[in-house]
Amino acid sequence: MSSNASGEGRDSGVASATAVVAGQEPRGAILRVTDLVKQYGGVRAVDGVSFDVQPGTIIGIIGPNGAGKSTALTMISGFASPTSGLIEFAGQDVTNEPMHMRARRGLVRTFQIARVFDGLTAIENLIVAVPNQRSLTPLGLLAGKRYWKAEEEAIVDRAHRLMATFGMEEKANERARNLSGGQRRAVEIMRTLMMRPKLLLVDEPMAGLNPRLTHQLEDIFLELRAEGLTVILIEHELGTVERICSEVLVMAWGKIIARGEMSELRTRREVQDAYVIG
Amino acid sequence: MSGIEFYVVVLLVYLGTDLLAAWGLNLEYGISGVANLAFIVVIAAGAYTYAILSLGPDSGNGGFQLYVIGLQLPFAVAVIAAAVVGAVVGVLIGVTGLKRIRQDYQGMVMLVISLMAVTVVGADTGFLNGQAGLSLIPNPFSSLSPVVGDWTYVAMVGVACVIGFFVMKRFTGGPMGRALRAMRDDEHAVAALGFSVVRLRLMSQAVGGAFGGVSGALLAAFIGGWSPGAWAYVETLALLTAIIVGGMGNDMGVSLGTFVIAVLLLQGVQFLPQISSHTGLTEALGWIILGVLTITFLWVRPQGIFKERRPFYRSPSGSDRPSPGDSGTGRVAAPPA
Amino acid sequence: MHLLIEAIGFGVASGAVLALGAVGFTLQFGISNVLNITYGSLMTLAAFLGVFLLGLGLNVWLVMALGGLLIGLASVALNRGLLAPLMRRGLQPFGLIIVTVSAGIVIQYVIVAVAGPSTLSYGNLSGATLHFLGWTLTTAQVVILVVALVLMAGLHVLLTRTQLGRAMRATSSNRTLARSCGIATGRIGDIAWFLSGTFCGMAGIALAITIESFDFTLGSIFLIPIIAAAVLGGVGQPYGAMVGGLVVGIVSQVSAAYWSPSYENVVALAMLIVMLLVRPRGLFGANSSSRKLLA
Repeated sequence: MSSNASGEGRDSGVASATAVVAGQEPRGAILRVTDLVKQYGGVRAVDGVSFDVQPGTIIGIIGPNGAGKSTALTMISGFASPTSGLIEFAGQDVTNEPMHMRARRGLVRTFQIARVFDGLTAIENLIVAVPNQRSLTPLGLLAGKRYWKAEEEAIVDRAHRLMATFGMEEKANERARNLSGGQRRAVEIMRTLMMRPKLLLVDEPMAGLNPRLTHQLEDIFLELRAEGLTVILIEHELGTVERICSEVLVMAWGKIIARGEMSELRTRREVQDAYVIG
Repeated sequence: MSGIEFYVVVLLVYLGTDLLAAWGLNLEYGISGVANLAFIVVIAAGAYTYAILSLGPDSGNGGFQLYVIGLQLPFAVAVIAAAVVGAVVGVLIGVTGLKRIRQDYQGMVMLVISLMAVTVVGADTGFLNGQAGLSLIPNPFSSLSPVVGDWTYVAMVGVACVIGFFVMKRFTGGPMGRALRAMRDDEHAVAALGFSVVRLRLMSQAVGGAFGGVSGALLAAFIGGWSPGAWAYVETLALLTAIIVGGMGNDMGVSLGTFVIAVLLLQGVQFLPQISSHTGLTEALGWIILGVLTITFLWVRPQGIFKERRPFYRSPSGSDRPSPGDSGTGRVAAPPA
Repeated sequence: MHLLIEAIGFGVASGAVLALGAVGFTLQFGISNVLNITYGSLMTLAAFLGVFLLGLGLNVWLVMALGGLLIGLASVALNRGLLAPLMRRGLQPFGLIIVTVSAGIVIQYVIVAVAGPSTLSYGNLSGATLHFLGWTLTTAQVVILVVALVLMAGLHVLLTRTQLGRAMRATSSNRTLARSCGIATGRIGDIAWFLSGTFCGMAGIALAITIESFDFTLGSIFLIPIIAAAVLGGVGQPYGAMVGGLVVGIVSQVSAAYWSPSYENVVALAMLIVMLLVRPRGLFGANSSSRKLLA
């Protein structure tokens, strides 16, 4: 797999903006899911899913519609609670932890349709994502601007540089509601990067993007992986999956029916069947 | 004091207390997106708290009003207590809205709470003197001559507004304002960033409630009385109209809206000559105009007269301006289409 | 025990009126997905129109029918003129509820402006007192009870056995899907609003008949037990609303008998809040309508 070829000038780009600090990564699997089940009435949307994910990898989840991929991701991120099963993040049991607490641990998700804060400007979308800001503590509220000014300026600076890396600096002060679909997706991804996540759950990031943009986003994911970020990606665009995922899970009817490298999976009978029948 | 002079005093006091209330509701609804149609309840809570703390024991007034407590506390203490009670009541109301139900359903819950509060307080004569309400509420400047006392009161309300303004700015501006607006725009996305939506919502309803409580207390101390008739559910709508018309989420817009709606409109109509056959006609007219204004603005210009403004962050290299022919060093990607 | 039975009797009588109102309210939610707070003021309008029509010497039951029809038309106008256009412009649910509250206030205070704030009365229309099953009801109450039963039976037949009823249920369940099946959802909506408006108007007049006197706050007072009934039965579920009306009516009257008459509405309010917090979709809420209400 080749990575981004644009070479020099990249140092100030995505890498420093995200800077996943080495040495903080846990030993062993960063995510372990055991016997995850989600039942709605009589239907098992997710029917006993188990897998683990090693840090610094990009895992793809593919499968026909209704296979339970999004539901599984929704439970892992904390948006919905499982009927039964265990979710462990960096060795901690997070199965019943609310979404915002998981986000604080570094388990970050994006949404299938990019959710940006329409009333804020694009750069504000990024600024608001940085965790543990002094300005939001009771002391910070009391003490006023002088207390948190330096920290905020550093954050604004970082946000500007990240936006520049994505080529969106002239839209920095544009209201998010005025951005195009592709720009909103970019803002959402940048926002997650501002959080310095450990594990990123992305649901169909390439949906609605043109091929050039898709390629750019793939490059960014590869660069991030090199810096230690782990990504779980649901994607229908199999070209993307093949290009950037080191490993792929195939889901159908709520279960994982195959696991392996994309090139090998393409030829397996049960995978082809799932797409035809599922 | 001439009639006109007194009327100006009244308008100024109403303006000041309404500003405090509107700022509180704007924080809750305009900035944080909380569908609080029960805001008038925190104002009433503040008013009643002030009353029952500053009045003496209920037997002392010839026994014609029955209420609890009655500690005859000094003005400042009672007002601070009103702020605290307003915050607590605000949080209690807020807890009912935490369930993940649609905003209009939430609004309906709040509306019901508002109606319920009026009914319960009005029905129980021992608690806050029921339907008749409380009167003879002490004014802190009653020992001064009426002219001096009244204008001193206006000045005090002015000071309260100045203080309130700076407190409000801490929440509606800066990073906190940004976080609250993000919650307003998308609650789930903001939780995905690590914010506790519960904490943010309850905080905004506590602060908004405190503003409402002080507003109610200052109003009750000035008027000298407070009864269920003063806080029907429509009063929240008057404030909401002020916010919608003036400009949600814009501090100046909300202030202007309050001046136009709460003062000019609702008080101004009292100036119109009463048509003798119908009492209450001018008041009815005020409410009709209010309702029509709300609907019109929501139809034509929901963002209000003054739109919400966001800060401009200049980039360090000045590259926030588009530069034609830029070769784009340091970019991984060309701008997304 | 006798007190309980009698209270239940009153509860059934008042429950019938509440059921009538609740069914109308819930139909509007079902068809247009909007919590129409203007409903209360429309009931008040019906009651006041009733005073005028009675003044013309018409029979009270004819007045009830006429009032229903007039409010039916007004409701169609409300939807076509205000609510539907706003929804097309993308106004969010909270904005819509503000609009319906505002429209309610406008109607209410127009009534004040025209007819004044003082209380009115239909006079004594109760008729002879009837005793059966340990209940003591007036003739008027019994007639209203029968009328309500007939109307609800009629609605049931309409919904289940006619093409129109099927179309209404389809539109209620999934508007876009219904439209793509060729159902003229606009016209169905008009009919649904007309029908529900008729229920609203008749409920308003029935209320005016059964209580001693009323003023411009009639609708806002009784909207709460009506909403309680609708929510209890599951908003959007007409059969639930019928049951809900009965339950709220009986529970309110029994509480009034044993506790205190002034707390009658408080009990309904409490039931509503508990329902909204614990089980927003109500006792019979089907998944489709409850999903519409969850954020």
